[in-house]
Amino acid sequence: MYLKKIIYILLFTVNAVAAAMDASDRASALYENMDWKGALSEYEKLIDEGYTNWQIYFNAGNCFFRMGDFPRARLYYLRAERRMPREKDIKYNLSIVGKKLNLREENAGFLILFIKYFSMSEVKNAVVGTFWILMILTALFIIKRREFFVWSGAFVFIVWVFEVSVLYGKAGYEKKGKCAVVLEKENMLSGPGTSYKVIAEIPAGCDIQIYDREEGWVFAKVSTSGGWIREDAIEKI
Amino acid sequence: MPVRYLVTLLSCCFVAFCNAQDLSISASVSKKSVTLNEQVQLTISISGSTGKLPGLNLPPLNDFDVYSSASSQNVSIVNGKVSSSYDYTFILVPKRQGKLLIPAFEIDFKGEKYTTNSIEIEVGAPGSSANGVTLPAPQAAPQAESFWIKQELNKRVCFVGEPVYYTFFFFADRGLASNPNLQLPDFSGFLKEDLPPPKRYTTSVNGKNYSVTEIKEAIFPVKAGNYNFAPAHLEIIESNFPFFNDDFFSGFFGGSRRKMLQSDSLSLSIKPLPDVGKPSNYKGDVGSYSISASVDKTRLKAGDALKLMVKISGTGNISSITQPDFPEFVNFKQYEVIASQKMQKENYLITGSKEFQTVLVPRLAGELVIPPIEYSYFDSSAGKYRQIKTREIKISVLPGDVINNAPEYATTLKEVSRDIRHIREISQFRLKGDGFIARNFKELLVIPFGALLIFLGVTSGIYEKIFPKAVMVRRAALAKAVASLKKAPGNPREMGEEFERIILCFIKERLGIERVASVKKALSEKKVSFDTVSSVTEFIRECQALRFSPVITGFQKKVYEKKLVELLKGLKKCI
Repeated sequence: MYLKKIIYILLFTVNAVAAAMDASDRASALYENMDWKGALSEYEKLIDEGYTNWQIYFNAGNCFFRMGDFPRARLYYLRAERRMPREKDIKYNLSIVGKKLNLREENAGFLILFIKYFSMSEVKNAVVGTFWILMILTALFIIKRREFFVWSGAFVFIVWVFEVSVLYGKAGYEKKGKCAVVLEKENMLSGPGTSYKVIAEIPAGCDIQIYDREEGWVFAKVSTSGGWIREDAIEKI
Repeated sequence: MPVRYLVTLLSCCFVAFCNAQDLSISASVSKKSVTLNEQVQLTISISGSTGKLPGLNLPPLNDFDVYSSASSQNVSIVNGKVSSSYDYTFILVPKRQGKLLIPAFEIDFKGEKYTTNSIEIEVGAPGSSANGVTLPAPQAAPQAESFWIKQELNKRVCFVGEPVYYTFFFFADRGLASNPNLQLPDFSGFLKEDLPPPKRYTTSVNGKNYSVTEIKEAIFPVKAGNYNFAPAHLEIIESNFPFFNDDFFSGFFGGSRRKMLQSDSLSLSIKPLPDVGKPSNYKGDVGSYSISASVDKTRLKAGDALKLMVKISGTGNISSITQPDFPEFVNFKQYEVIASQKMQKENYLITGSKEFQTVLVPRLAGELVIPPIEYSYFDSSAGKYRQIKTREIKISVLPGDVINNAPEYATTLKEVSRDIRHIREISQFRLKGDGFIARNFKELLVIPFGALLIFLGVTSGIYEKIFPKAVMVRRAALAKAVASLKKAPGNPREMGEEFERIILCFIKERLGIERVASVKKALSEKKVSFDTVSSVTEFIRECQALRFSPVITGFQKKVYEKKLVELLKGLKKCI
């Protein structure tokens, strides 16, 4: 009974991966033939099916770029960057699209750069791995009662605390930080409604920090200015 | 304030010292004590940290006959710093006895004057025979004179640039009252090299002994044509004191007279170099040469320098050897070519070598090749052109830290426009989020922590304190008994045995005793009601009946099971 279940799961997985590979090949072929729209629909299908490879977002961003939709291209490059923060091609394409959108490159602090250097899954892997090592060292100390395990355990504990700090910092930054992109030029208002005064104009492709939500409006921070923006005008990274 | 002056003074001294280090000159002699017949070799060395050293003009040395013997030049490049040295060798033949002085002389270089030390040579009386050499070469004397001269060329026909050796002979059967005055033919239109020192020996001509002095020179014709050389002239003041006469006083009182000797004239036919077979890279060198190339290292890092040396050696006019055409070193940066030469005049033949050095800096890492370098010359002995070349040199270049020429490449690349990077291939599809660990993050933290707590509890005995074993066994007794009775066999005998064991085991676990000696007694002590005790003992008896009765009728396992379960539940409430 269990064997049957395992075989079914395996067959399903193999089929799903084969289908995804076919879709990816199709998308690449369409891209090579300059059918950007066709390629994009294939990549979006893969995303809808739950595939999370950064290359899918990167390639989709390329399709938007070729189609001239630079804000969405930037959105997809940022999504790809979130999954693979150290990939040079993503950074290069972000700089190109940033110039197309006339966006200024911000100078992030060391802490932000450090947090951004690792993806969330990498930090989680590190936290789990280090915690397991810490538990094993503790168990070994209980059995062997050797001083070595105390010191090594203390060191691993410090590392683990650091990793947990990075994890919480990253989680907090991603929650409050660059979590959305304005897809078209949008007005920033002083309150959550059209009757309020326009206080700034946000360029298309600009990323914003969201702090609050209220009936179809979000309180966002762009650079040093804060104000209310329509929720429909933004898309989460 | 005095400190300031001291610093200034020290700085000046340091600068002067540094400048002084730019050039050095020294003079040395092969021996400081000679006889009148012997010769002294004077070597003047000039060295400095520059590629171009000043030339040397020897000051007049009235007490010596001076002949240029050889010169050599060495250039070295170490870590990009060029240093060179010249060695000039002269043969000095003393004219008189006594203490003779080679004076100090100076050269100008970049406004600074550099001076050698003076050297004193002590010249003693001559030996019994000139050079102690006697050549048994009987010749026909032109006349029965005491003094006569002649001149010779080693060939009458030659090519342009081919070395021709000229020899002047002076025959004398007696001494001279003073130094003779020699006038050799004018070799205008030729390049000339002295071949020192004068050769002296004795020979017999028509039964008469002569002292012979030979002076040799190498000449290199520059233009084609027929040349006639004027006779050589030698003005002497003859003495009546013959070399080979033992009568000292006849010579001493015999007196002396001035006399002008004249040789025959000479002719030389110079042929132009043929046009047939002239290589395209021929530059006019005549002689007999070989070529070789070498490098100071064959394994280096990109950006480091290596020295390529191309050496042409053989016989001919060494000074006028031209630089071979270096190929275009695409993978190297090439620096200026510096030439140096070494010339020997041993056995009155001009031989030597000329070396061309350059510094190459590999631009790329990998296996690079220095291609062969070709050189052409006209072989006058064979009468035809020859093309020779070096062997190929392989260089192993490792990746370097900094390639000196990288900026040059960068400047050649002009960015026209920028475009996004191409799409990326997806190597491994990843479904649902960020992988197993990230997806099950909390569970993967809780599991090891829980496992550790359990491990800790077990090992430290805390678990035993929280959950005593006896209590746990008592609690689990009913469940264990029920599970056991369901697994009991269907055979009445075996079942009876098993049910008896189950009920006894249950009572034992509930009471927390080792063994049950008497069920009735054990239950009575716990104040179990009489009816319950009776039921239990009755059931045990039934089980025993099943075990040991020969005939069993109306047996139903389920009835016994139900009865046992009810009995155990009743007992649980009491004990």
